[in-house]
Amino acid sequence: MAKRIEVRLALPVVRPLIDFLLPLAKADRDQLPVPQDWSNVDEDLRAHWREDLVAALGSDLAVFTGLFDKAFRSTGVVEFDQTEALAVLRACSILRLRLRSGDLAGLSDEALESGEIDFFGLDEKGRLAFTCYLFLASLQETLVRHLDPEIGAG
Amino acid sequence: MTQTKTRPETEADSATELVDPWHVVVLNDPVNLMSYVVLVFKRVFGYDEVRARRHMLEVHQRGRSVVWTGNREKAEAYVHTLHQWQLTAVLEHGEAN
Repeated sequence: MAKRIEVRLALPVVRPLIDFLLPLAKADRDQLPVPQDWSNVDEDLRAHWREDLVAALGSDLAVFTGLFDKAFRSTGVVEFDQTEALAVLRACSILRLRLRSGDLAGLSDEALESGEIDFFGLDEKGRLAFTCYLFLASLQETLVRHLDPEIGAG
Repeated sequence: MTQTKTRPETEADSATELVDPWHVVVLNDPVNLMSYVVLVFKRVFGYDEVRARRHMLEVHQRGRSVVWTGNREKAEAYVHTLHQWQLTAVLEHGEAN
């Protein structure tokens, strides 16, 4: 029987973040978050790859948006199996990449990587975007620890 | 999702890989978490914790890591799978790393 994963979130804190993230997850399902270098890939494959990546992206984001449905909004609990957890992991990366190229585009790569930013120097939307960025990272860390306890144990 | 294509190994395959190697190279990005990248390397390539972590640190510190070398068909499949995990990965031809 597949192991279920349950994550309990502080609803008053997380709800505004989810409200911010859901439109981001539902928009531009045909846009890849990272421009990839396909110069060494067979030309015949490129269109097929793009199509496949767009389909995978849409599928991962659909799992993410499905999790934070009405039930979550009343309980603060998200529950999923391992396959869904992997999709959520990827969806978190997609959304972090979108935040980076969107509302957080003004931050340097170094600042994003280190997390050392002037939070109160950001405008209100930037602060919300950065909080979402951290929330997604935290969700990913939780899932990684659950899926593979060896990672981070050393 | 696309699965990595596999087929029976043959001596001809091995010879081709030695003569005409293709590298799967992962490049650093400021977004993906270290633990996430380790998990991806373990799942995609079947690497153990030590090897996956070594490649992750190489990406982080040196900006790139050759994570797999072999024939073109498999290398392409791996690059595509890494793209599905939102890592920045490229296919490179040749011996020089």
